[in-house]
Amino acid sequence: MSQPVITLQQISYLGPVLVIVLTVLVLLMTDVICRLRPSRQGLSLLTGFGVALGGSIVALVYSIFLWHRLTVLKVGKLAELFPVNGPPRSVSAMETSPVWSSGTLVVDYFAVFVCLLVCGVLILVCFNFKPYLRINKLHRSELFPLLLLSASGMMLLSMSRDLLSTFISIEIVSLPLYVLCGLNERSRANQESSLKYFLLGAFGSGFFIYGASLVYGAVGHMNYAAIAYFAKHSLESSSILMIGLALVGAGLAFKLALVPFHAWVPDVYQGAPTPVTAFMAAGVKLAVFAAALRLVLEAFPLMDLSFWRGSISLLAALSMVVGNLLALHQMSAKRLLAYSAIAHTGYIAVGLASGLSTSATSILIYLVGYALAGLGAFTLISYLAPDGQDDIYLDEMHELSKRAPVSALAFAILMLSMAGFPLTLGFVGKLMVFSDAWRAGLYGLVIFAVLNSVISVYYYLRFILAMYMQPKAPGAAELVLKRMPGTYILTGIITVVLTLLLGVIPHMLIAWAQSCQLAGL
Amino acid sequence: MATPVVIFFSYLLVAGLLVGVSSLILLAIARFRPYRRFLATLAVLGFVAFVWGMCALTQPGYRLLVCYFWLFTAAVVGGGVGCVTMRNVFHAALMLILSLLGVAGYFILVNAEFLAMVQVIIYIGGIMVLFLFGIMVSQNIIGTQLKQNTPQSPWAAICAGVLFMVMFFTGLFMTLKPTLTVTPDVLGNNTGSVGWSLMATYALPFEVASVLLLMAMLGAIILVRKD
Repeated sequence: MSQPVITLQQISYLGPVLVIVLTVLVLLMTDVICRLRPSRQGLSLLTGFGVALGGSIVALVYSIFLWHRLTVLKVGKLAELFPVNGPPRSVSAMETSPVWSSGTLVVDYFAVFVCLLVCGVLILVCFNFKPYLRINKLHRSELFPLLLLSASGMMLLSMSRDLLSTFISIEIVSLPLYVLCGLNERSRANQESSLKYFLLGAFGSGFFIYGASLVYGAVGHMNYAAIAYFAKHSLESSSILMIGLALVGAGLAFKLALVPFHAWVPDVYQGAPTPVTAFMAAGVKLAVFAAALRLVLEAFPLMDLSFWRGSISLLAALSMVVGNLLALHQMSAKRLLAYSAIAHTGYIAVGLASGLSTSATSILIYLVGYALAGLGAFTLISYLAPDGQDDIYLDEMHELSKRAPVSALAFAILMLSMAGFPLTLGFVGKLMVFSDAWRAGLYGLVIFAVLNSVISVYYYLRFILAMYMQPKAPGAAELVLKRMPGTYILTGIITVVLTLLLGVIPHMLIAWAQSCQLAGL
Repeated sequence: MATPVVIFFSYLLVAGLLVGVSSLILLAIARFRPYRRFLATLAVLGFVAFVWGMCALTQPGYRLLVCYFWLFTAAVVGGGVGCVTMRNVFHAALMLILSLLGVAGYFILVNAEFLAMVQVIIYIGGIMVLFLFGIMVSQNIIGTQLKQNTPQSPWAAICAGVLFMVMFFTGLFMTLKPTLTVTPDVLGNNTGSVGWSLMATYALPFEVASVLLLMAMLGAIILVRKD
């Protein structure tokens, strides 16, 4: 234990996180400088946006560089495993998977892939925020540091292999979001959403940390590998470990909004500023599922199979059915997407329940599809929303296809992707997640999930029908269409094109995601 | 073994426990509010009888330890019950301090003196003082005394009861083995080993926690800032 614990070379593996945190510090300084004169309010917004965007792009590039570095490591490992004149032998995918680990944090293909996605989400959300602040006359450039801090937590969450660092990362993800939800102090809905999210989020964190303390009491360690080892080698089944893990799972389920713990979602999603909702739907879901995947695939496989598989399946089934049934008659687009988010969490949890080593791949692809569709849909909502309402309702959308044909088409494509129509990325994700569960032998759950996605088609099609086929009711409110801001157009194009392109030719994405396997069954 | 003395103290122990617990439960019910002085006295008497019985039944060398353990337990449980039943929010916060002090006592009993000090300094010295300060300031601002009023208390009591029973039966049928090899060095140098694990095993989470603190500071400033 005498060598230095952390070297500079090791720190460089955490590059994307460091870049984001450094950008936050720069942002805080530039914000102070820009605010020296009140007349520079607009400037502070613009510099905030620029610096945040620049930092996210640098982090994105750094993540690509890390991916490359891991590939170099992998080639070296392969050369070691297969000497030129040695006998041929077979190795598992995990054996060749390159990893840098500090014990509590680990950087592998999975973590780097999630970092890449988080950077992408961050860039698109920054695009969303710039016009949103201008249109709603909010001079709050300090939201950019908060956004970036939350994203740094998401990256750390995908790297955590230890209950302690997972907990700290979850807190780094959530704390900025509580503040961001209450961004507009003039809006009561914002304040309400912020308070509800904070209270229930704190409750969920309490569950998590209590469970973690019980796990520590049972195992004497908080590392996932140690938990798995203990579960395999301890002779008597440890009920305190099971209760601890169940509480940890409940804490994660709170953050994911699986069904008994979903009560906060509709109000928070509807009340929060639309770009923040987009960030929650795309980013938080991605990061917390990454953490749940690591916990389930690295710590659970050696445990009592029927116990954890049964409980995750139950949560998944409940989430799908409750989310879908409550979404059926929603009139508000944001509330609809909130309930559909609960249902989507259920579909993804089906993949979690299968617990195979390939589950990480399929869930990541599903999450990419969901993040793209969600980001695009929320962008269009914040473009179409009337002043001061920050939401659109079904009866306002009638005949939208005639007045704004491009936006209507984009919205329709994104809704179809969420419903899982073929030729969209949503279909690829659903197919992969469900086929994983089928291979794991969860036949009943897969049939239930497919039936549920048939139900979900109803409410997505309801919005498409309203835009394309139903005439406007006399006296109904009409949307005032403004010129679409440039960054909204950019976000819309990126999300729609990627949804279709990756839906038609998903091979490259699948090939990348296949490197991201975790231990699993 | 069952000498008359042992039998007497066993009965004393059980009777004290029953009297203490039932009067604590009655204390938590609103209808028995007028008798709360009497019930509190009864609870204390029951507790004293219970601890007396406990101490008399343990081996001589461990009597002091057992006595302190139950003293701290009384502080934790009594403080917890008081915290959720007191009408006056200020008094409830004071009861929470009592409960946290009891936990600090537990830490001392298991040789974790560093944790005990941290518990006292951070929870009681920092958080709870801030809590009391907040209560006093907000009472001054809104001009009325804050009352603790929880209409959902029956449901909360049922949930807490169920969770307690689950944990109780788990604890009853559980064999806790020391999973870490406890060396005299660890026991003797508790503060040192906490420092070692913070700076070596958990160095990265420790650094990451500083990002969390930065975030908390930033968020607090943004929440109270006016345009």
